[in-house]
Amino acid sequence: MSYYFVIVGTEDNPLFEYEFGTSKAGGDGQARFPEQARHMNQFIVHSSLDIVEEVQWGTGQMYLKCVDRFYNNYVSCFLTGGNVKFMLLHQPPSSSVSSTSNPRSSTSTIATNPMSPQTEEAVRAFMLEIYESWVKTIMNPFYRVNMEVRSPIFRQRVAAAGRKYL
Amino acid sequence: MFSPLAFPDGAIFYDLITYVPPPSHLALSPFDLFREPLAVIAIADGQELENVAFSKRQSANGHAPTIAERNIRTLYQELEDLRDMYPKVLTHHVLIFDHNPPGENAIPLPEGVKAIPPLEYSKRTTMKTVMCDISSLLLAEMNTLAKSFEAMTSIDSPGQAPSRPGLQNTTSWTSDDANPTARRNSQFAISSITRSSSSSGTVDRSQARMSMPPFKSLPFSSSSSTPSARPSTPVRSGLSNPPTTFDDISANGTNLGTLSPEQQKNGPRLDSAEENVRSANQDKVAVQGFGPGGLNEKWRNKGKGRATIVVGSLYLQAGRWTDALKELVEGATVAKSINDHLWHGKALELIFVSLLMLAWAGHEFQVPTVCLSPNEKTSSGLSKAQDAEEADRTQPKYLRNFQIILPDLLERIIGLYSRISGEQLPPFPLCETIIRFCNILTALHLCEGKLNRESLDVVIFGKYPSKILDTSPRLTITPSRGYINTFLFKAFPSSTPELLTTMDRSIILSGIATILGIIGYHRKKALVVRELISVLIGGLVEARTRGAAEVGIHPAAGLVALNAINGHDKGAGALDLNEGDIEQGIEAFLGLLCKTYGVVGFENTRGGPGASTSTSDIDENAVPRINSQSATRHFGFPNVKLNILRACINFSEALPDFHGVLKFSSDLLRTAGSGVAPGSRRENVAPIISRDEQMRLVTNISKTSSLSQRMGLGHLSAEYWDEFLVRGITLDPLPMTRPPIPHSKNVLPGVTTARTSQDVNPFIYNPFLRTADKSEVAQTLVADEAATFRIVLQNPFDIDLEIESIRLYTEGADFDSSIISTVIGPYRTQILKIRGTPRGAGSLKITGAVVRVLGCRERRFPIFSQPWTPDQQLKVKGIGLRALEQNRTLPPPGLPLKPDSVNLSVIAAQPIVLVKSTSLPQSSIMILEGERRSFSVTLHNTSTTPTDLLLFSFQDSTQGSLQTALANRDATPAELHEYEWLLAKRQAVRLCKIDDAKRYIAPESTATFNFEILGKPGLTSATIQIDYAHLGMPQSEVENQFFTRQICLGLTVTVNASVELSRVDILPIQANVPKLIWDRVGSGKIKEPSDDHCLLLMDLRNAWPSDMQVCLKAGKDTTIEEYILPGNTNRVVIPVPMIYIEDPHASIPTLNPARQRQFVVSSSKITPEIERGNREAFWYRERMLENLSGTWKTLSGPAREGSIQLRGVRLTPRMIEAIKIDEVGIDVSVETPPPEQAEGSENDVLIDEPLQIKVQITNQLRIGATALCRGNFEISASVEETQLWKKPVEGGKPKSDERGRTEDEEQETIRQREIADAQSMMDAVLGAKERRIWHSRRPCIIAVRDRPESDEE
Repeated sequence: MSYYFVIVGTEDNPLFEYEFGTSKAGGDGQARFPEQARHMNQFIVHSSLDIVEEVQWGTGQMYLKCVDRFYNNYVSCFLTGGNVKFMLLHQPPSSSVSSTSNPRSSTSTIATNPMSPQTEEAVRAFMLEIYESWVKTIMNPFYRVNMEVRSPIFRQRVAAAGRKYL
Repeated sequence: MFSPLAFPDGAIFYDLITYVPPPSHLALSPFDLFREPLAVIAIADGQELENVAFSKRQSANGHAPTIAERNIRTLYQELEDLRDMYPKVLTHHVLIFDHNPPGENAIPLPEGVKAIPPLEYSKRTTMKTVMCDISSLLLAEMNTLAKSFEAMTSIDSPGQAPSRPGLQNTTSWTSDDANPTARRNSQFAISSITRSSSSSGTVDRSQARMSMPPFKSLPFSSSSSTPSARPSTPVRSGLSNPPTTFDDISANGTNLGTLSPEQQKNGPRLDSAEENVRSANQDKVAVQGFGPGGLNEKWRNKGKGRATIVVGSLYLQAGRWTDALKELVEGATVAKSINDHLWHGKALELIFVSLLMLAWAGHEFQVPTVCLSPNEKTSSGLSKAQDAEEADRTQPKYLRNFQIILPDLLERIIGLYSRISGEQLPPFPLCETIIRFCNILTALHLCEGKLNRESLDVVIFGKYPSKILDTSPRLTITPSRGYINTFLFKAFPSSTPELLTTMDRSIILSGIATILGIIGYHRKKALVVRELISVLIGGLVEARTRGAAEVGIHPAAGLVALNAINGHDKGAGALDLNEGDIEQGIEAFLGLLCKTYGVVGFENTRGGPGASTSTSDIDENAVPRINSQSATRHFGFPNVKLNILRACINFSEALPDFHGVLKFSSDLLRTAGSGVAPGSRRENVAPIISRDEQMRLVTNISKTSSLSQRMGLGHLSAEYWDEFLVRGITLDPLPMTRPPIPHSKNVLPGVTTARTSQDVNPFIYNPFLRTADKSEVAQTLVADEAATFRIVLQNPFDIDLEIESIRLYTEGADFDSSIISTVIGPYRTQILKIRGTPRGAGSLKITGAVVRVLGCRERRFPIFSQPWTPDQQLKVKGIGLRALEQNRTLPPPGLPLKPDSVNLSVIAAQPIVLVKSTSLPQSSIMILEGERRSFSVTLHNTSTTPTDLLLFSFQDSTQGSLQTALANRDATPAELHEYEWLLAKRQAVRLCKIDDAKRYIAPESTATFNFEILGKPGLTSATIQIDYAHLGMPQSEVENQFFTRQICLGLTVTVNASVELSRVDILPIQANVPKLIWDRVGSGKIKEPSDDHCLLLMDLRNAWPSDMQVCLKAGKDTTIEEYILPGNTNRVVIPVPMIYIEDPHASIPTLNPARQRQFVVSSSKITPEIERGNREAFWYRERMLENLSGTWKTLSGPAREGSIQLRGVRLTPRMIEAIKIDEVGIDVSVETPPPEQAEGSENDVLIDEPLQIKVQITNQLRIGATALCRGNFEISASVEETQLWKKPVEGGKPKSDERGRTEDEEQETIRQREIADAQSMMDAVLGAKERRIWHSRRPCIIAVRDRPESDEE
């Protein structure tokens, strides 16, 4: 499964972007988006913001679960108090690839079934961990709202959380 | 069969299209019957009927009396052609608009040709009646169509004929020569529909049946009975309600006739009857599989069922909705029973439409049971209905029921359509159906989930409410937007290209986009539109490649080659770009897309193109535009923006839309740029796209713009992408002789202005006073004279910026700017020199530059000289797309952006004066010290303007050192005075007095002026500075300021020493000056040599190699002449009168009042005594030099004469003593010498004899004394001043030491009360006033002798 994680500010502007792949079930942590569809990730996430803006008012939770899908791309969202959106686009590997390369991966629910409760739980844990790092990062006195986060530490933390949960 | 009388409330909705539907759509026809065109209406202009012959073929029209008649015949001919061309269309008509046939001799209109009179003449025949006529014909024709459907044994499902026969039938629909648009369509024209393609379809269906799912969970309904019931429908139609509608529907039907009570009773019976039938059918299921003719029977049933559904849809089209409902319920039941999912779905869809129409018409109806989902048929639906009832009691119950089942029904229909079976619906109609359903759901959503009049209006007429939704939550409304969204995205076409043609795909995508826009999901919409654009690009490129191949050039050849061909050859039809072909609305369409993603456009609220060009140049617009651009720049994903712009460029190129190419290319550069005005802090302003891409874009822009110019579309150009192009404009300093120098009016002689105290700032230093900005100082230009400006241009991009033309933009006085072109290198600021000439006097303001970048519109750029970086908002005021709008309305954060301007004042034309000649060879001169020479300078006015003001000022090399010495803080006041005196009184060069009237140089003439030069030590060069101007008015009328130009004439001066004063001394003379000296002085005529003289000794040295005659003068009449050989030093003795100075301790004045210092604190700690001495020396020297002067004259060689510089004299205290006269003169003498002492010296006194000594001070004073012993005595006296008011006089005691003491009292009158404080301050350094004591200078010597007599005694 390939992931595209982006933190979106209140002006639809990306504050942080990170692409990674699953580390479970023998994954190497590399994103495997098809090259010609890679640029679509941003479009898909951007279009999901419409849904997020509607869904966010219907629940008291910060974690909005899987809010949208576009073909094989599933978008989960986590909303912070400042209306910064953590958007995680996950794309299960297309069926032909997964079945041939690693038949065992089909047993892993996270990798193959993005709608399963296990996946939701894993994404929640991932999001919560990032939220913690995020709060620490933006406590930086030089940080201002809607500013891009370039901290390498934060990037490391996101990567670590991705390895840990997804 | 379709007579409207049966259902008077029905309506026919015409969908008027101006094109022949593509064959791929027509192929869906029996399934989607609405795709088949049923009537052809040709239109003609009745006004033209009598003027222009419509056809050139005279023979075909026969002989007709008038043009009109001939034309009508032509039209009829054309109608016949239409009939031949479209044989399948039911009716054909020609409508002649605005044709009012005159009453009597009307031209008989042939059948099928109808005239519509103009609006003012339409009494009986109106548009509506004509349409009714057409409708009646149409309905009649539909009868036969329905019959033909009924007669068919089998009807194809769409998409089931992979090898469509009937390519040969293409011409029956479209004919190449008749229809010019056919060429475009022909590429899609794979086949046209034939109704007789059943043979091939049969095979498919049999295959399809093999793959059908074997289980039959759905209950069968009666299949055999329904077709038999159908033929009777038209018979019954006018009489009663169809029995298939349930009782309560007809109960409220107002127009349908009265309600029969038995029908109400029949209701339940019918229900139960149907139940019976159904159960019977279920029994049949077991039998059917075994029957030998089962397959055949089923196939027949299927055909019948489908025919029923098609006829039902005909009823629907004809406006007979109740009948349609009846037919369709039948058909649905059949289709359901035989698992004909596709047609089941179709029947349900049509039922749904019928119900909608009924609801719209206000008929009560009951939802047929086939529409209810099998699982929750009763319970849940009822409970929902009750919930809804509580929610809104005003809504009729049948509508409420319908509203409740509606989402489920729609979903079921789609489920049936998309069920994987043998006969799968092609993606296009499926997607269209989904979009239609979503539209209905959206209508419901917009009307708060209520199925009422409003929502029906939206559904049927497309009257969307004016309010546009945004993403504010609407969570409580069912169907929710999320639901609609999910539903809608089922229609999103997959990327596999072969299933859908480009056109179908774009139709679907635009449909999705529309609905997403309506429900306020603008970002989703943008995603879809982007997909749409990429689809369109593909299609357009394909079409172009094909077109290129047709005209015989390589498909890879680009835009340029194709359009070049277009210029000559009209054969490239598909690519021919005419003015009319330029699509309207494309820009708005793409603009909307760009806005959603936050693309930084030139102006986000764009008016017309004319409006933008005229108003966008003003500074007031530029600043908000920049702010808005920077707000947009913060918004959204940068990569996405770039991506979308590239797509837009590709799209515009594929169209080809030059304007779009230019606009989006520049938008891309603008979006990629950083949009800041970088300062010296080295902000990173590099754009976020690669250099290659920038290069490509810029090349593209220039190429496109030049191409559009070549094609005659000259107005197309891009907007330049960097608002901060001009980063500064400064005036280059004019050449030395040129710049006009401002002078205040006071400089002019004869003009005095009284300064009121208001003008004077009472504060010497005011910390709160802002110093005026240096740049604010207005610079001055002269009319009609070119000035050079420096323009700083910035180019933050990594590519060369070609500027076609640049000129200055000014306000105020007339100004001609030269126009130049340049290239700015990548990533730099560059300074450009540009010349401009003001044409008139007045104030001139340079507010920017008008620049045309290659390929871009010529526009004005304001000057932004201050660095500027946009700041982000500190607070979140909005979320998502609204944030952008809100941020634009807020005041921009950070520093305000202010365009600069250069203020210049232009003065009237001024003359130019040159120094033509001087009387000095090579402007150089040799003089001796103290010598004075005169010379002349000739000035030439080369311009046509007269010079009426000439001011001369002079500078020389001695002034500099004097000025520095003056600035020295350690200099004593005496030194300062000396320097000032030298500066003021002994100028090296000066103008000989001339008349004011002579200070004028006529145009192109000359004038000569005389000057004097004085030899001073240290003078090596001098400058004559001439300020001249053309005032054009008397000097007294000059207001405030005037301007002059300067020319300078440099002189090289060599000063040689002449007579030097090497040593000076002053000697006191005890007695009178000897007669001898007076004689030498040559003033023997002085009869009464006074005793108050002293001798001045001077050593004069002749440093010039020729004899010198020196003449010294002291006072009025003391003159001495001396001859000095070269190199010799002669000593000259001259008696000078002694000097009395009343207050030698007065402070030393300064000559220049401007240099008057306040609060001079003596920096060096000198004692009061020394200070007193200094002041005394100063004053005595001044007084002495006043009376003393000296001249010299050469006796050999060239005759020269000059004065001797005597100011080198320094007075020592001793010399001061010698020269000064005391305030209190003390003269001691013996008053009455005894008569007998004549033989002795004059002051012989006898011992023991009282004598009187006269002490003369100011007044004669006598004191008594007695000599007590013999010997010579000196009597001296001293006077002390006291402040006491006493006047005791004590006699000196005749003692052996004979010290006579006289105490004098002096009255200290305090006269100097009124002395300025400054004066007393100055005197503070003198220390406290002490008691002064004067001593008598010359003692009175007394010789005391014994009396001769007494000695003998």
